[in-house]
Amino acid sequence: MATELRDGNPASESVYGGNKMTSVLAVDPLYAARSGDAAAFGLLIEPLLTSAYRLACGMLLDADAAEDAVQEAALKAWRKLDRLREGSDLRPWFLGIVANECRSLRRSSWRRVLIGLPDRPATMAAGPEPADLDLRRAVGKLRARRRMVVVMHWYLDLPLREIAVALHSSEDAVESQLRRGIADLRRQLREWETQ
Amino acid sequence: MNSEAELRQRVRIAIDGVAAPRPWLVGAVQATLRRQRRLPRCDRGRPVVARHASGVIAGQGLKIVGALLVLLVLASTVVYGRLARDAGMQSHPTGLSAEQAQLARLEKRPLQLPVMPADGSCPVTPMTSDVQPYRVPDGTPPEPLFGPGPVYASGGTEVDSTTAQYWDVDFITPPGVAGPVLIRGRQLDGRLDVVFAGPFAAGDVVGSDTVRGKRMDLHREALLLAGARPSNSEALPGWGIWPVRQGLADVSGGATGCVGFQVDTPTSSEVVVVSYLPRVAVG
Repeated sequence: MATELRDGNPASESVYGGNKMTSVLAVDPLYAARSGDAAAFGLLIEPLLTSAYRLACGMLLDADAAEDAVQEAALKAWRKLDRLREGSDLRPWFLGIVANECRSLRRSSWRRVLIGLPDRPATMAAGPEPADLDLRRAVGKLRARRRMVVVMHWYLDLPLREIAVALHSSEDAVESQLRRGIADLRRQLREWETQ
Repeated sequence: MNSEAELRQRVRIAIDGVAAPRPWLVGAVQATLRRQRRLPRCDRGRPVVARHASGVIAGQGLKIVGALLVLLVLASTVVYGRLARDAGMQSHPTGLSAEQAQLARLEKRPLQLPVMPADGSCPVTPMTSDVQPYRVPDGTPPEPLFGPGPVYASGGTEVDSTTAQYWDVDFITPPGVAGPVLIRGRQLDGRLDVVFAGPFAAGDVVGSDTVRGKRMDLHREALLLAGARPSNSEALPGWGIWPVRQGLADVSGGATGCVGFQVDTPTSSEVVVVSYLPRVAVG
């Protein structure tokens, strides 16, 4: 979702009109958010929250932890809104913050909890197929960077270009990480199949 | 489960099993944000500029003192590095005399990096996609690698300090490469040399930095001794995978993101140009 609210807003036609400028500013949530209006920022990111939650689920394999991560990431994103460059796409920027928040959570208590469990993720839906469990475990074992890329590309269907923006990387490096992640998944599944 | 499409679909199903809908999430996030105090711009993550005249002057004076201290530290580390090297205390592993002589010749090769085109487009080197250095299941396509060869690079996880931007990459040497491999780099669209850290950083220490709480020396070169490959179970026999942290020790220069590397071996010299997303300087 590009931050084109000003250009896309029909009221912007009157942006240089005297008494209509106020109304343009009032309906531009990005301007309001940058001016310190946290509620306006909430409106801005509302369309992104489902993707953010799904990303966090793929990273943490725990719905409760994912919800916490998205909440925390939303706060951090609002506080860092000044760092979003003019004209930049909000979606990769925000999802990058979500991914980093998940990474931080994995490094702290959640990672210790997950490692302590006997090969099962902390939250599971009822009655998953054994193959799905294996895949979930395999995803859980991916290195953080590779997991980010696999989840963003394979689960959220983000293009590599956008993932590169989110992760402050190059498209080639992202593709490299994707290939290695896929290879890791295959290798892990083959190891379990032969056990 | 053989094809990539099948694997992808199964991964989606597996994660879907965790991602039960949370219809309350949007409302919860908005409620959390609404509870935040409305903050003026200068309080949200940026340093507050002292507006009082004496405060500004004092601030500038402190900056000058700080800059002088940094110069003093850098000068002393450069001098120390040079003394240590002259005394034979190499900052790279197992220096045999023949390799030292080869390294000296490599270091004399000037950097011959391309000039930034007038239109500002970074002359990125095409990736190589037909080299497989890793132990992978049969049928796994090779991942794209940086560089035309004989030496390649992979990866690029970014790690940042407060002022610098680094990437953790793997340099990859095939079985046919022998002797020292010297790596140096420079911005094509800026003024900075690439700096290196970690066990394969070499040459003079030109500074230091702290990343994730860990102090590291910064060098202007990376040196791989092909005869002393690090142990790595992911690599095919004879291939070397060398983890190197490289980066730019100052992100305030405003460059748009174009870096050239020169990789020199006793029998080859290759140039690799990459494009990166510059990090916005903090503060």
